[in-house]
Amino acid sequence: VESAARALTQQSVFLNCPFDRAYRPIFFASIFAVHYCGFLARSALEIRDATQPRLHTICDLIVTCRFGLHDLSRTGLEPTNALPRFNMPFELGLFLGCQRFGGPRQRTKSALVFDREPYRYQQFLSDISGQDIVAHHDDPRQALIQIRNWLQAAARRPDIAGGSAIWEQFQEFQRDLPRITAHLHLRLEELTFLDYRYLISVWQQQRDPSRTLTRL
Amino acid sequence: MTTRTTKRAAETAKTRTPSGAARTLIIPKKTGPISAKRIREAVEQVFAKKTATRS
Repeated sequence: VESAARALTQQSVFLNCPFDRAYRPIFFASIFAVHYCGFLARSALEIRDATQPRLHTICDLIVTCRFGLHDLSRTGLEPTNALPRFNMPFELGLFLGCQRFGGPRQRTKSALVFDREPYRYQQFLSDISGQDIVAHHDDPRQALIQIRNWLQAAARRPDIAGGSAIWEQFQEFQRDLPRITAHLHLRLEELTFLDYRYLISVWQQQRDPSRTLTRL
Repeated sequence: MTTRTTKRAAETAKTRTPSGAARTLIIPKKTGPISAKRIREAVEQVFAKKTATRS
């Protein structure tokens, strides 16, 4: 049981990012890249247990993910109330705290921090200077390529295809997606995170049947 | 003409699939409200149509 839990942690990537509609192209590209690279995308969206405080379940998720993708690109004033949303910087802090103060396994954690523009974070979160912070310029292709590069280097996996090849396959997946959702009698926005993640895995399995399957 | 392959190149080649994808693909155990079987069938139908169109 412990080795299964350990394998799950080693292969899990915590996606700490916005869930708004405008961000969806980057979110979907991120899930696709994570699975293409042989990892499991995890998100607070998979938590359905209303009996636990949300913070506890997010902490449990962070502890069980060796990798963390943190997108600070939406850190700014909301047009409706002129207040910033702090969930993502807060969860980045939890992840880095876990890495810093946790046991030996937690110290192997690796984080990639995204923002819209280079060095913008220095105006609101200068304490994270020195982390791996990259700009995706609100471009899903840039985000996908950066995720691929990060996972390849952090997990030392020489067998991952180049970012452009993964992007081309993501484009093919997006062309197939309306036909798949039509078979399911659903609209794209009605797919939950767990459905979408499973769908991507099955699609990648069909696309390349020679891959070794691991159920986690 | 013979082709010589270094030991390192041979090891690298062993770890690659034809498409260059990472060899391991994780299939999540935890699924959402739609049954895994339905999703699998929908994806298979789309791939079957694609294959039929190509041939």
